[in-house]
Amino acid sequence: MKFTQTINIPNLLARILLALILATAACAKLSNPEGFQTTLESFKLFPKTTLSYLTSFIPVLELCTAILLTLKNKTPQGAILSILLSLSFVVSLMWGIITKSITDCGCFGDWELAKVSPEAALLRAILILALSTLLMVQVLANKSVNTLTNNNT
Amino acid sequence: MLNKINCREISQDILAIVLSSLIISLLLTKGEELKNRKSTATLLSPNTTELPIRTISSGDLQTLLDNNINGNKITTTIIDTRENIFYQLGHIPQAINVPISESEKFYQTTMQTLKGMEKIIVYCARQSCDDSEKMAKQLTNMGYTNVVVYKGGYDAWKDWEGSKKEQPQ
Repeated sequence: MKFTQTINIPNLLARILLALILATAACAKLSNPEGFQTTLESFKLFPKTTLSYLTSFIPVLELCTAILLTLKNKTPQGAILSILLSLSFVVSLMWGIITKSITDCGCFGDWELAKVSPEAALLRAILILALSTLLMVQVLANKSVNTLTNNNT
Repeated sequence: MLNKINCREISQDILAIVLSSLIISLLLTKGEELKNRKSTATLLSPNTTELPIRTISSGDLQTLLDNNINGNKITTTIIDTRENIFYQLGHIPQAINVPISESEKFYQTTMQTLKGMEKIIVYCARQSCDDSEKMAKQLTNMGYTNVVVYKGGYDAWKDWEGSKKEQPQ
């Protein structure tokens, strides 16, 4: 059985870009946990008792997802977690916009170079969700090709 | 069969990551709570009562800036607590940069300059940032009673400047 490995460049770029975005967001939140907690509180979506735990849980999960995305063998896991994270951000931002309870996304904390409106932050979250979904579709397509190749050999 | 094994492996990995993140976040939160208790005990001695931190509006800040130079003497110090890179990108006029991460060094070397000030104004990036409150509390605990916080931060100042330009003259 001949084994050839080709580098899937779009897949690699998508993984690196997503990993960078998630790692930056995680570090920004971890550098100012009080600010992130204030932003989470303004969403009025979570019980107050869970806020302090969410303040650490979300960035740690983002960081783990970023690490998974950099590992080729763990790309499906990273893509799924990325989809779940960005979906939750999209839903939270939509809730914040509808209830007019937020003025600041808090996605990148104090590391945002310019103030981003909630609507712009929602668009950004949707783009990240789309990128994560595309990556997952690519991974599934590659796996189907590999399964077919294994069946034929 | 291959697909079933992969799905099981993937879902096990995801569950492991989520549980690990949960445990790490629990440890971080408990650690932070312990640290806060220790630092509050250090900053506040039994004989000191914590004074409330006063805030200032954009209009009042503008007035102070306009009247700041009284003859040859500067009467108000404005402190920007953000990191230097953000200060370089833009700051409130007349503000000096003392990142909260370097505040200890500032207190040791340049505190003399604050002693003659009528007012010390502290700000950071935006409403959700509390570095300005932290520094204000530290200064208040050192004996400065003329410390106020510009709560909205640099974001509120930019909005204020924008609204001034839109108003007809």
